[in-house]
Amino acid sequence: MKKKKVWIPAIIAIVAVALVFIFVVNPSGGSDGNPNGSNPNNNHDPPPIESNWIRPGKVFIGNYTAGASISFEIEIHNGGDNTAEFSVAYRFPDGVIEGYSKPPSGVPNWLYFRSGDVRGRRVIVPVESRGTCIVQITLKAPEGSELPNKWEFWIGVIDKSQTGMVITELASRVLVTMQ
Amino acid sequence: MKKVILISVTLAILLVGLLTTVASATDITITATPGYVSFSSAPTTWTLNDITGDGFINVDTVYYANPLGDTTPPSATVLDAECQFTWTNDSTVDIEVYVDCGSFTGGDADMTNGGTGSNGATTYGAYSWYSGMTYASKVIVKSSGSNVLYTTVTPGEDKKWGAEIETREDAWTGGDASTATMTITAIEA
Repeated sequence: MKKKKVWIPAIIAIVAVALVFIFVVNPSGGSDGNPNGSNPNNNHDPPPIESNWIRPGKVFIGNYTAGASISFEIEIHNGGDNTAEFSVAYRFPDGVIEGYSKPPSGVPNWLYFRSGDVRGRRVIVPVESRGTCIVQITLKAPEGSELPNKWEFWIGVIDKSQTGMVITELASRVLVTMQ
Repeated sequence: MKKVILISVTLAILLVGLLTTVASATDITITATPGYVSFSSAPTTWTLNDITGDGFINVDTVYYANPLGDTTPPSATVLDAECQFTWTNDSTVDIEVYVDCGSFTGGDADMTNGGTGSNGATTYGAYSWYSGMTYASKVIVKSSGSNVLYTTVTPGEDKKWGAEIETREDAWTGGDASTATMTITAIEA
């Protein structure tokens, strides 16, 4: 009887340590580096149905390390009257947010785009009139890559049905902070 | 009693160590802003010297996207009436605007973007500007990496804008027109 009374608080202590660690020290959870509940498309504003749009406008990747794989999504809406193809690709930034560096030259080869069966280093995806499409983008810099502490690249989205000399590109910033 | 405490402490330390190892491999975070980017510019067509002119393009000449005249520069402070294009920001977020322009190809008036604003033997120079801007502060249009034209277009804001191209110095090789693509990029500020 005496031994049982000693073990009970010991087990409670171990379980408490584990629970505290899981829910307080490591709130992100998950095993793929993509924390639960961090849907980048969490938006409560009703977007326009008759205009092209993309979201999110900015993606923040924190504590990144070379060799790690991290994925995020970009949602593309076709506001046109007909199905249109949209190119989704890496875009070297014209300008970067203060404190961030321009991206290393290897980034185009470290990105992988996927939307259904369409996949590659860049993709062209069909989007139905008034419909949306989600493209998953995975970043995986080779292990050992020398990366700036904070760096930025863009994902450019272009409606390929545009004609004329002047075309519009919608872009998302991806802001990476290293561990 | 001592033995039990010792084992418990050891197990606790091992557990913390294990969880720390797992956490260090999984603590990459990813978050995003909640708004969307919706931006357009019209009209989408611009043929040099074809707004009020006859469409024939000479070498070593500056052509403006100016409804008041293809070879008429804007005023010291650019007016609405001097801008061919209008952008509209339907986003829920502030937008930065960049304008890049690639090479003219596919005809006998090929020329590359010199990236300096000035023309050369086979290169053209280009700038962009917007209504209300001091014209002297116009922004060089490069093939990529142009400086920002407008830093904060607020949601719902319309703005008139224009561009100019100084054609190359060397004579054309023939009479077929070449074409280029000018890209106006909208990104969350």
